[in-house]
Amino acid sequence: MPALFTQWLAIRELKLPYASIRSAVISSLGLILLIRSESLALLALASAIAILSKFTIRYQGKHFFNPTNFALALMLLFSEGAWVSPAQWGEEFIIASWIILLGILVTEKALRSDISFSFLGWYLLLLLARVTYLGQPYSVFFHQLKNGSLLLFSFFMISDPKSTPDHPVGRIIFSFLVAVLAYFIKFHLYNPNALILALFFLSPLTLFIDKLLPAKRFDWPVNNAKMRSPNYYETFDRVVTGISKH
Amino acid sequence: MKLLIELLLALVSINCFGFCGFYVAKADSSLYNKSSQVVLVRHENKTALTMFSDYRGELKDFALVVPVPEVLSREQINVADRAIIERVDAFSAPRLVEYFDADPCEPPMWSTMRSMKASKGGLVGPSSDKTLGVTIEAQYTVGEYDILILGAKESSGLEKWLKENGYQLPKGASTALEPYIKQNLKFFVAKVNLSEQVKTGFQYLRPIQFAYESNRFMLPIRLGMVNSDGPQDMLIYAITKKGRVETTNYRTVKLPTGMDVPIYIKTKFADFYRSMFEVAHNKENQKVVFLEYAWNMGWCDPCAADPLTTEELRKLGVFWATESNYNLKSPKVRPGVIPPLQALPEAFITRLHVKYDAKHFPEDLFFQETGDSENFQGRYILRHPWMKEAKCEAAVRYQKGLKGRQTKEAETLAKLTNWKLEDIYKEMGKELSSSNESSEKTSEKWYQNIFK
Repeated sequence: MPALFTQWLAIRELKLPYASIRSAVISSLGLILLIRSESLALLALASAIAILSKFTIRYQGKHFFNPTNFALALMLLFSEGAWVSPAQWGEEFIIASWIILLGILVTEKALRSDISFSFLGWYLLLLLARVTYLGQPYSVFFHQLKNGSLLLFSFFMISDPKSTPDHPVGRIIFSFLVAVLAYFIKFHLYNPNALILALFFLSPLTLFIDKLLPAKRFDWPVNNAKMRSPNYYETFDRVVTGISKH
Repeated sequence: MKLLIELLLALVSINCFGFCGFYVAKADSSLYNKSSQVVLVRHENKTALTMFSDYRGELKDFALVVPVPEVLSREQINVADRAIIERVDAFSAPRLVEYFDADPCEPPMWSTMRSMKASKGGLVGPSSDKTLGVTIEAQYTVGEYDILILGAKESSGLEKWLKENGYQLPKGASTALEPYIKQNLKFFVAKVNLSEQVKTGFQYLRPIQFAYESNRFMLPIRLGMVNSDGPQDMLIYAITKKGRVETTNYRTVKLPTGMDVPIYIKTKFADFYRSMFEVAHNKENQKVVFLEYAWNMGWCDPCAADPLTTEELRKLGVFWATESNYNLKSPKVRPGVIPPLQALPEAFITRLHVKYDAKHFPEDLFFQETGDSENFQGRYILRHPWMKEAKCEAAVRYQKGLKGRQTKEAETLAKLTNWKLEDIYKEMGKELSSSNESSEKTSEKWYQNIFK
């Protein structure tokens, strides 16, 4: 609700189309899938931060933080009452989700799924290298794949086209950096929220990468915005932000 | 304002009477054949670990090898009393409570609940250390244990060294040791010093404790699987300042709780709990960690044992506990009535129960403290029916409802434990038949009330 209220306020003040309210719905859904708290006030604050970040933290029209990621990271870093439970989903559910998401991505050739793939490629490579170096059985690697956070992060957070570099090469570089930082935070600082924090810290880098490797800003044409992509979050966001620019 | 407080207090106590029940039995660690218990006290990066296993073999064969993040000094190691583990086990154990139905002919009165008495529940010379790449970083004798802190470069060297020095290592130990060596961990190795052990006068081995600083909030369980011939039960009592602890690389699942079960379970609580745990464990494909208890350590409801005193908490390694911030030296907590009105202490216990084997738990357990301070307990309820002669309409209605209630209890029990329903009915025999009789006796035909 606070997210919707914030979006509504923004719509009113910035004279955006009402359709963009859906963007807030999706951001909030993303948030409630991950965040846990006893305090309703904290949850409300998190969703308000998520939406506000989209309108306030912008550079040349680009909101370079993914709203859900931004709110989550701030909550994890500065509030003691909110947390993310990375292992909360059942294993079978996660395996099924992997298959479905990968399947849909491959068949649908979703436009910006390249960053999901390149991030997964880099990160899994690092995990695999670690397991091999330590001499652990490969069941450890597969066990690490069955982590709900990894799945959600790859397909619903880092894949946000509005807050990642515009150039395809930029996205590959960016996802590599996120993977390395996440690996460091997880296996050297032992923080279980490594993925979320890594993306948060590196998001501003998007602006520099965009300068180095300029490309056409992502703009999803309205009439092409069918909900065919598996990544509804992205799709909605594309639709909404696409409209709001005109 | 005063009135408001009084009102609130009244609400608290009523709520409590309606909720607590009387504690009758607990399912503590004595239920399990092969079990180990670990107390994991954690704040920021400081950890105090207490380990206790119910080792039943020859004392001379006992050896404990635990990867530790740093070379521990003598002051970081301690041998604790077994009693302290028993206290924390008893305090947090899943519990059975009972209620007695009131006379339906009398208006409800909280005081009709009757009190029930709780049912009772010497180290060898380091000849070839260098060639094997093993360094003895430190060595101590603490209590009945000879302790070494070893550093190693290669797992095969460490395995060989341990074997040469009289530690019986199972096959595959080297593979299990390797990942820890590669992560630059040291090894805490303990063996029983037989002459010191005799001096202690105990027939068992006492828990070993050590304290260290590390960002890793984890328990190395992989080494223990090497010499195990089947799944092992482990109880983890995590004590933190604020909230519940959960595993971050395995799902933490709340154990089924709060069910009404047939009265005969009172004498079979251990069987019931074991079966129920087994069913839940299999239902989750043997891959999850179960939450059995999560509570602030200042109170309980109902209490399976009194809350721990400050002194006891300190013995467990709760290093931030001092008399000034704890007012629990002589807890006045009676079973069934609580919570204390003074501020609650900063000590929150999470009891996790994991049954693990190598196949289903490929990684060590990693944890995080959450902001969740909601209470949770494994609690199962017996309801004794009111069995006197029905002298009023309310009593007739009550007795008619009994049969349905008992059927439901039996079905719940069957579902929880996978026991056969017919066996359950057989066991329930006495309680069932009497209530059935009474309900038959008082049962009326459908038309009896129409033309009145």
